[in-house]
This record gives sequence, structure tokens and C-alpha cells, in this order.
Amino acid sequence: MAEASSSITEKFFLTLKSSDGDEFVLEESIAIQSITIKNMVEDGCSSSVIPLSKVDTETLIKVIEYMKMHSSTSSNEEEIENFDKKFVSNSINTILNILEAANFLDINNLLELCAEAVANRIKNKTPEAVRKIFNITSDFTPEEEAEIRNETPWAFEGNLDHSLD
Amino acid sequence: MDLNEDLVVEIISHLPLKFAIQCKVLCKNFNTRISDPKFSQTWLFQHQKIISILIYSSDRVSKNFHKISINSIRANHYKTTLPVQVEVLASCKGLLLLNFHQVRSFCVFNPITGAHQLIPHPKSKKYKHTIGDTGFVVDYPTSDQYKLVRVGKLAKEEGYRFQVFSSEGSGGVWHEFRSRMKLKLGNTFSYLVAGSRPVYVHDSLHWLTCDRRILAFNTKRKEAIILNFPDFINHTHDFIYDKWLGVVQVLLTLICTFEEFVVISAYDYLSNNWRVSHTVANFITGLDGYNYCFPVCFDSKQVLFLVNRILEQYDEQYDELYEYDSKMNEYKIAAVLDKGNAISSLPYTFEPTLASVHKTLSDTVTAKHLSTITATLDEFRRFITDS
Repeated sequence: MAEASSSITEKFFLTLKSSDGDEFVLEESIAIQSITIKNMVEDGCSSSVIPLSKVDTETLIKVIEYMKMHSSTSSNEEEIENFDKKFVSNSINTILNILEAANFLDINNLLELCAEAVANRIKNKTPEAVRKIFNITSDFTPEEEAEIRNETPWAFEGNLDHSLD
Repeated sequence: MDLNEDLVVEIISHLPLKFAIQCKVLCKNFNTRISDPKFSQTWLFQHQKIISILIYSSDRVSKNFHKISINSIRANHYKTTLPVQVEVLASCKGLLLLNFHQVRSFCVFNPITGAHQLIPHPKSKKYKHTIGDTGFVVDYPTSDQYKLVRVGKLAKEEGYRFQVFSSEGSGGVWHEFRSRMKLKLGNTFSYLVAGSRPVYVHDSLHWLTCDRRILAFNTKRKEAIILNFPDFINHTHDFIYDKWLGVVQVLLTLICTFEEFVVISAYDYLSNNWRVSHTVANFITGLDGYNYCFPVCFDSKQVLFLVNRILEQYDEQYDELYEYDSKMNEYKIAAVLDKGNAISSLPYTFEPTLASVHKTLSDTVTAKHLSTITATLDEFRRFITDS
């Protein structure tokens, strides 16, 4: 607890370790945008390396990039907006990985940003394409599926996109 | 990739309505989750849409409907005139139960998605023995399961008959269940209070009876029981039309007015007891001693009241919407509604969901009637979703 309260005036650093074993040193004030990390710091579990077994190196680099940009001291609103726009132009799989990491690390803004971005990407896709993206197997019989489509035919009209990205 | 299901739901809640509805076909699990009221609340929040509204009719022919938004109470309201007369019978978890008299058909309707099922009235000689309003039950978490319940009396007033239509399997058949007073209910038969609306909570539909009790029909067990009123209600000089049933925070709620007080109490099914949740000064009864009041129960909120005021000259009337102020323990006016659109019957609360509705079985109505009905439902849908 003493460490956490003194970090306001003094710079403290944390080491985050990805599932691939790579270590990243990050200022504590930036890292605690993650509520999960913040709780660990407050519970005094951060003296050594913080293992993030659910986040791979590629994803962790992105998350750290995001946290650095969104930490209060370093950037202005316009910069952040441009950064976010570019950030979500990554491939849909990369964004899904970041979304999972944001959920695990409990970074609400990042979670919302990714969810919104994925929604924008899938919104014109056929249900078949959406199933493939999320790896969902349908357990409907063709008749059951037809019944749901018939309930609200207007929602299934129009040309849809079959691609997966 | 295999994404946690909650995260996929989070993503879907960011989709426009049309695409969120499309996701119902992904698999059974997502169909259930998208149809759940929790999903629609998240969706409506993300898209800054209306969360709860009041619907009421301002005329006896039920063609003119009004709505008031409740999440930020606004006095300006929206009005529509429907092509044909339609009666709203009940509102439950995002589905409305309508009645199209001219084709002798009920209609289960989701005004957000437009999905609807026409259900013909039961063909029964006993139809004329029906008493009270038709009850409507939507069974979550299985979102596409709903039931209609009509109450009738048995011959010689021996008890009640319940005609139940269930959306599950049966292929559009009404089933009948009987409860005899002497054998099971231990009370004498009593008619239901006219205009008192059945409320659904704790797996049961509840109707007020004229002998100051509550008839409860459990739609899962298909059994009826009688609940007594709280002890504090003085039976000797008592009027039944100033009592109403509602559901507040998943509890059966009884609202009563006395000369000086309005008492709101909740029924605890575990201990079979009533507990008074609020006693407030009577703000309802007018100078003439009459109550023209419509309590409004949203499950997630305290009870609101719409009170009809008549000006002294009796040539003008208007409605006031009262909201509970917990700090002062009193009801305060939250909005005054337009004059000339006075409420003529109990309003319905509506909280949108994407609940499924089954398709109408073929041969239910003729093509000619169907097109009028579709036009009416389209107008109703536009009325509810437009802001």
C-alpha cells in the first residue's frame, strides 16, 4: 500500500510478461489504466514481474501502445482520436485478440473501442461469415433457422458481404 | 477464433438493430441472449434510445394511442391514429398482447422487431363464461415462450376455469384447467374486479377479486391459489376500485388509497406475508372525493402515478404524472400532460426487448383482413420506435 500511494510523486516501474515470455517495463501510472494491474499493485503483488498468461507478445505491444497514448500526461485529444482510428484499422483477428486482452486486463475504454470496431466490420456480413469469424457452430435445423428469419424478414433483406475480413 | 460469449454479445450490442437481429440465427444460445431484456437494455443504452415508455389510449374505440418517455420524463408526447380498432390487453417483457375484435383474434406483437403472431380466440361455447381480462406471460429465459390465460367461471360458480394457450409445441390449441373452490381453494367464488389488469410475477398471474382477495394462477404448475389482502386493510368500509396490482422489483405489489394515505405493499411468497413498502400522504383523491388515478409500475422503478384532474368548471381535464421522492417520502409532480388527451384507461408500461414471436399458423385470417392488420401493426411499430 505504501508503494502505491507514493507513486504519485515518484516514478515507479512495473514489468509485464507476455505469454510468450517477453518482458516489458512500463511506468506504473500508465499500467494502472488496467484495473486488473491496479488491483495487483494495491494488493502488493507487483514487486516482481507480472505474468500475463493470457496475452501474447504481439497483443501486449498493442495494448501498451494504447495505454501510453491514453495516459493523461502525454497526448492531446486530437492525437488520441487519430491514434484510435489507426489502431482499429488492424486486422479483425488482431482486434479480437486485443479485445480479449482488454477484457482480461479490465481496460474499459479499450474494450469499448474494440467492440465498436468489430461491430463496424461485421455489420454487413452474412450470418455465415459472422459464425466463421467467431468460430460459432449453428445448432439450428434449417427449419428452425428459417422460422427465425421469417419472424422479421426485413432484418434479413439486402445484399450482404460474405468475406471474412 | 474462440471468443468468450460475453464478448461476442458485447460486440453485437454495438450493431445497428437490423444486424443485431440477424445475429439471432448464429446459434440457439445467441438467440436466447439477444432476446433477453438484459441485452436490449444494453443495446438501447449503447444507441441512446428510449428505455421505457408508457402507452395509453385516449378514446373508447382504441384507435388513438399516446406514448410518454419515462427515462427522462417529458411531458410532450407522441400520438397516432391506427387504421383499425385494436385493443391492447397486456404488455410483458417487450411483447404486447393485442386484440383484433373484428377477426376474433389475439395478436402477440414485438413493436421493435415487428414480429407478430395472430392467435384465434378459443372456439368454445363457454366463451361467454369468461370473466376478467386475459393474462399474458412471457417466460424468460426461454424468450420465445409465451402464454395467454383467460379466466372463466365454472357452472354454479363452483370455481374458476383457466384457458391457456402456450406458444410451445401444441400447434395453436387452447387447454383448459379447472380449480374448484370448495375442494382446493377453500373460499367462496368471487368475480374479478372489472378493469383490473392481471399482473405476472413469481410464475403466476394475479387478478383482484371483488371479495378483496387475489386469485393467483401458476402458469407452470397450472394451479390456482387465493391470496388474502394485508390485515391492515379495513374490510368494513372499503371500496375495491381504489386498489391496484403491479410488479415492482420482482415483487407482487398492492397499491391502496385511503382517506389520508396511499399505501404500497409487497407480497413475500416465502413467508406468505405482506410488507408495507411505502406509506405516503394521499395526493390522489380530489376535492370531490373521487380517485381518477392510474398507478404505473415499471419493474425497475418505484411506482409512478398518473392522476387525472378535472378543473372546477368540469369542462377541462388533464393528467399529472407523479414520481416518488425518497428523500422527502412523498410524491411530486414530474410532468403535466397535454390537456385534451386525457387518459381513459390504465396505461401500459413498455420496455423494449428483441424477444421472438412465432409465426401465425396458416388459415388463421383471410388475406383481406391480414393486410389491414399488417398496416395497423406497421403503424403501431412506427409509433413506438419513432422518437
